[in-house]
This record gives sequence, structure tokens and C-alpha cells, in this order.
Amino acid sequence: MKASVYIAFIVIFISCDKIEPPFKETNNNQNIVDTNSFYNSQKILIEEFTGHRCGNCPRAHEKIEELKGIYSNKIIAVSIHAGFFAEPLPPNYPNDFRTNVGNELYSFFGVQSTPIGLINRKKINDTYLINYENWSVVISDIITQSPAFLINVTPSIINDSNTINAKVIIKVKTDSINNIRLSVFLTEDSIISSQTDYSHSPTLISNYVHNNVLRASFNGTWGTEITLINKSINDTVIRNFTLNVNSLWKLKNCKIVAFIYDPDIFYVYQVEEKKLFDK
Amino acid sequence: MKFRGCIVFCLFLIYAYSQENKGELSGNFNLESQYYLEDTAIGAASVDDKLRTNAYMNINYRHNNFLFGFRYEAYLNTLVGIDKRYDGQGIPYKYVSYNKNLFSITVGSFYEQFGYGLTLRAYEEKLLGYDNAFEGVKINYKIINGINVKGLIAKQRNFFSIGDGIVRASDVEININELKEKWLQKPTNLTIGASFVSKYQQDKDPLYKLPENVACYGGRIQISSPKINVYSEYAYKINDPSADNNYIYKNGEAIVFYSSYTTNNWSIILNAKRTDNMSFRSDRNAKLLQQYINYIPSFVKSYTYFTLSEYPYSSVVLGEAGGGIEFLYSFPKETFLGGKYGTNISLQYNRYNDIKRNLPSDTNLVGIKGTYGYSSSLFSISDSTLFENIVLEINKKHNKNFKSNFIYQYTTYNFDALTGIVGHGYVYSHIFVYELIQKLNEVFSLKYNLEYLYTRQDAGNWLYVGSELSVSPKWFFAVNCAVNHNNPTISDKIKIYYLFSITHVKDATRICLNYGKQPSGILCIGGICRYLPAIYGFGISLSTTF
Repeated sequence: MKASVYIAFIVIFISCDKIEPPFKETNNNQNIVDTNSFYNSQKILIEEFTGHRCGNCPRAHEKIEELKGIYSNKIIAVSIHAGFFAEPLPPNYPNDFRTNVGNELYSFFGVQSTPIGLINRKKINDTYLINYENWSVVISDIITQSPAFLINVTPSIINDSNTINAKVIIKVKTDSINNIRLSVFLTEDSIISSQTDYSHSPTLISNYVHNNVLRASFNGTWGTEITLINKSINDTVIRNFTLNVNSLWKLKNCKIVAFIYDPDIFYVYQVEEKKLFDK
Repeated sequence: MKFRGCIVFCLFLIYAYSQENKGELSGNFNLESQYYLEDTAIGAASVDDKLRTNAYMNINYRHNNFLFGFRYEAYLNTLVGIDKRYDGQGIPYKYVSYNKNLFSITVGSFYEQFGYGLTLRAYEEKLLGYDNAFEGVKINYKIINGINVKGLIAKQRNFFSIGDGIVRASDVEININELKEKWLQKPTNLTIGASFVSKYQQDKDPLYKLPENVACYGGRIQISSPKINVYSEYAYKINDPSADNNYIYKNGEAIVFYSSYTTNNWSIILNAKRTDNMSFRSDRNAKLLQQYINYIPSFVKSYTYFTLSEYPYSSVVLGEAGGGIEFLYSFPKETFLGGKYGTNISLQYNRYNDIKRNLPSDTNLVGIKGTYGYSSSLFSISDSTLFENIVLEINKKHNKNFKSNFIYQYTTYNFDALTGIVGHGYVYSHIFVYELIQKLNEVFSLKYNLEYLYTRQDAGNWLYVGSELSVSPKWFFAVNCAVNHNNPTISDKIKIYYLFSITHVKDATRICLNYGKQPSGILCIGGICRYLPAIYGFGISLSTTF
């Protein structure tokens, strides 16, 4: 017995990894996929709950940029301004980035604190909500999977710039899923507005650049149901959606985000993003 | 997880009832229920489900050398203020333990503590929503009299599931006096201990090389005699980049010191502590109260009085240095200051500063992710005060029917650093508390509380008046009223929070009903704190043991 106790001590004692600089991985490039093959790869949807009065939220925004640096355009973010910290508070926080869709998602997923996010709406440990520190871990599990669907989005502006049309083509790459829902959101980059940042002095930044801000949905909070019965692998489904333009939006900075998810477990099978005016 | 819990539960029942020689069954039950009403004036938000109930029951069954047990928990839904990820129900805690002579094995769930806990402490505190129970295997072995060895390998509870990280730990404690029989009679007792804890978590981070095995080790010594008690513990942790420390690779360390000297009429307590980057969790990405492996104790005395719990000090695991001194004196009976029944007086002073952080060796900025972060020597302290208080407490029994307690406290509270909510700066407060207990007769007694908190910062001033009528031994009726005024953050001149409660105690069962408003605040227990939002509504609590 004594010997086994000593052996246990020794085994435990050697269990530590001392890391020496540089602390960054040197093989990051292998994670960055050739941008030409995006259409064929699994992409990640980060639905980030945030607010302009949330002082820790810029850390999550930085995390999104960091992840885009690693995975390039395989990361698609939607910043959902909702909850107490997203409420306008003039004169310092005059703008209201909240949307009905965002409010409903915030409530449905039981958000209690921000920043927090959904990663492909994957449920882990009984919750969909994942702290931004954990996003990279969850993403590394999902991103290498073979995609069950591929999405192609073609935006167009009609009716003298008063209506946005989104044509979404879904290519089926699996025969095991019969029902999906397709959601199509509009997001906007480069909105200059105020933001609290606890790591900044003063904590109020009046000209903060807000990216990926959810502006509206083309087809409601929960999207459109699509049945895939009688569809085979490589068959396609085409849907068209329209959205009336709001004068507050700068269309040149807007993007369409389309994603397919499971109607029962909400897991996002695939997501695609396209700028309204792609150069 | 829930399924496995049910299997253990069923096996336990089958075993228990199949035995002719029935064992001993014990346990306890607790229920907290709240019906929420909205009051926008105090910030009490409406709750969709209106009525929320949290309940749990512990069952333990001892039979010969075996001990079985489990705890059923229900959060339907989680009370406001507790982490909502507890929503649901199940049997998260279940164990079987075998004890024979000097040896014991536990499989399943268990709690454990090495020394004060600088390297390892698992425990639960329902009021905080804190539970970092281990689930795995634990062995306790007494090698000879005076030498006790513990070893464990386990994962940790994460709400109703189990966290990613694996904890491997061992501890040896030697009581020198017990080694030889003749030393047992010595008035001075000497105990030394050493522990080693290692956690494993896979590195899935695409950007950084994260250590998958992180070790933490420590030593401790305790010397106690009838008058003097001295305890000291030191712990060291290797690189452990985590969400807490912004993924820096600096080592961590912590040292605590506690001593007391007691004579007939007076005693003195001295304590000191320095903590540097010592957040140690089995999941490097965990936050809030989840999956802590270790525990940093707080030596600042905590009170249950309303105003004294407004600005409490909790341990700052990422960096704190300071200590306290307390002097206690009992004026003897039948003296001018002692009176007929004697008077107790206590004077204490505590101060904690942030640690000094110098530039690390690998970059010219402090605290940058993916670097050593900073450097700091064992006893370096910064000028930035985290917390400082001076407390005078006078406790006196005036005659056989009157007892009183007076407390004055002056506090400097670094709101930004201690709460993580930037923009408040320092809060300076003067607090006066007077409590009077009056025994009317053998059945009735009254308790009055008059408290006042004065500050020009944060939420302004508080007046608190409380009264409780005890009808011995079964009934307690209480009315409390807290008045907030000169609060610079709200437009109202005053806000009033009243709370009525009735408590009935019979044998080992206690039932309490309350109605009223409770302001938001910070609840701290043992150096761990959580924010409590304002509440308005009806509450019921029930607890019983059997």
C-alpha cells in the first residue's frame, strides 16, 4: 500500500507542462482555408449578444476579429444588440440598435449577461450560451466537419433602392435530414456610434466602430421551413426573400447572412454571408 | 448524467431494503420559493414564470462499513440572482464510501479540502449557487498514527453536468505529536502538510500553445498551544493561461498567515495574505463561480447586519496583498467599564492593496494575452488600495433583561476593482449599528436594530430599522425597513424597502414566510460573493433534518 501511495505521488508530480515562449502556435496557417473553396466548406455562425453600454462587450468583438484572423471568412458574425445594456440612454448613447428579432432571440435563449454568444446554436452542457473565451474551443470542433449543406446568396436591389432581394440557393449534401429552417438576416458594418469599454480610459468611446450589427430579418425570427423529402444529395432548393430598406441603414456596408438550422434542436448546419455590393 | 444518478439511487434503495440488519438513514430537506412582483422603482424586474422554487434533499445511509448518499436538486426555475444555468432538476451528487480501520475509499461525488484550500478545496454554498463538487475516486489512508495521506482523481460539477478538466491531487499531513505517544501530552501541537494538484484539459485553442497539464503545489504548518495559534500556508502554480487572467503565462503564488494570542481578558489576532494570479480552475475557460479547484480564504470579518454587508471584502484571486489586526478585550465584571456583567470590546483594522505588476520579460506591456503578462516578486505591493476598514465593536449585557451591541465601521472600498464594474471609483462609508435585545419574560423577547450608513458615493445613505419579536420557542415575527436617501444615481429622493416575516420552528423543522422588498446588493460568504438583484414579492422557505 505504501509503495502504491508513493507511486501515485510520483505520477502526479510529473503531470505538468511548462510552456516556453513563443506562446503562439506556429502552424496557424493550416487552419486558414483557401478563400476560393469557401463555398464548399463548413462555416461558423457566431450570434453574439451585445450592447453599447456593456463595458466588457468589446472583448467579444475583439474575439470575433481574432477568430476571423485564424479562420478568415469561415467565421460569420451577427451582433445582436439586446437587453438592458443595449437600451438607448441619451445623450451619450442615443442610438437604438435593438430589433424585434434580436429581442426575441435574447429572450428565447435566456441571455442573463453580456457578452455571450451562440456558436452554430450548438447546445453544450444544457446551454446554448457560450462565453466568448470558449468560442474558439467550440469552433475548432465544428469547423473540420463535412458540411451537410452549402449555401449561395445573391443579393440585389430593386424598386429604386427601396427593396433588397435575397436569392438563396441551398445545395443538399446529406440524405439524413428531412426538415430544415432557413433564416435570412441583414447586418451592417462600420456603424460609428458610442460604446462603453472598461479597458479604455475614459470608458465611453464616442466613435466606436460597430460591425456585424443585426438590422433586420427577411423572414422573421425563426425563418422559413423547408422540407427536403424527395431531395437527393447535390439537389438544390431556391428561395427568394425581400426586405424593405430602412433609411437608417447604409446599404454599402450591409451584408446578407443566410443560415440553415434544425427546427428541433436549433443547430445551425450551414451559414453563408454576402455583401450587398460586392466589388 | 441524470440517468446515471437514477441508477445509483435505485441500487441504493434495493440494497438498503434487502438488508435484515437495517442501517442508519439521515438527511435534510430545504426549499426556497419566491413569488415575484414587479417594482420598477426599486429595479425589481418582472419574472415570466412568477413563482420560482429551488429545493434539494440530501439522503445518507450508513450500513456497516458502507456509506451511501445522494442529493436531489430542483431549480424550477432558478431563483433570481442564482445562475440560470442551474434550471432543471436531477441528482447531481451521489456517492458510495467504504471505510475500514485506517482506510477509506469514496467513489462518485465528494468534497475535499487541503489545508485552508490554497491548492484545493471543493465545497458547496447554496445561497451563492456555488458547488464545485468532485466526481471521481478518492482514497484516504492513515499510514501510521500521525500521518494521513489523501489522493483523488476526478472531474468537477458544472451545473447539471461535469466539466472538461480532470483533477489529480494528493496530500500528506503529519501531526508530529501523534508520532510518539509521549508527545501527545505536550501542550504545543505541531502539524505540517504538503499537497500537489494537477489538472488536465485538452488544448483545442487554434491560436495559443496552452499547457494541458497544470500543476499547483503547496505546504503548510500549524503550531497551536493553549495561548498561541499560528498557521501559515504557501502555494505555487505553474503557467495557467485562463479566461480569468486574460490568458497570460505567468506563474501564480499565494501565501497566508494567521496567528492569535489569547489570555484571560484579552486576545490579539494578526493575519496577512498575498495572492498573485491564483485563479485555479479545472476548465481554463470557466467564469463566475464555476469549477474552482482552489480557494483563497478571506480574513476580513463578515457581518450579517444589513449596512455592514453593503461593502464586503472578498478575496481577489488575481492579486491582493494585505492583512489585518484585531484586538479584543473583556472588561472584568464589577468594574467601572465592565459593570455587573462585563463588557467586551473589539478593535480591528484591515487593509488590502493590489499587488505591484512590473513589465514581463517578453513584452513591454502589462497583462497582454499570450505573454508572461507581468512580473511581480513575492512581497511587492502597489499603492492602489482595494479595501481598508477600521471597526470598533462593543458588546455589553446591561442587566439580566438587556443586551446590546454597538459597531462603528469606516470603510474604503475600491468599487471598480472589487466588483469589476468600472466608473464608480472609491466608496468611503461610515456605518453605525446598534442592536438591543430585550427579554420581556420567559416567553417573549424583542430585538431592535438601528443602523445607518453614510457615504457620498455609490448608492448614497441607508437607514435601517429592524425589530423582531420572539415567542419562545416556536414563533418569530419580524419587521424590517431600509430607507435609501441621497442616492445620486436615482431621481427619487428616498426609496423604502420593507420586509415582513413570520417564522415557525418545531423540532428540526423551520418554516418562514416573508413579504416585501429587498434591495440589490452583494452577498459574500467565506470570501466568495455574488450579486443579488432587487426583489419584491412573497417568499417561503422550509428546512428540516431527519
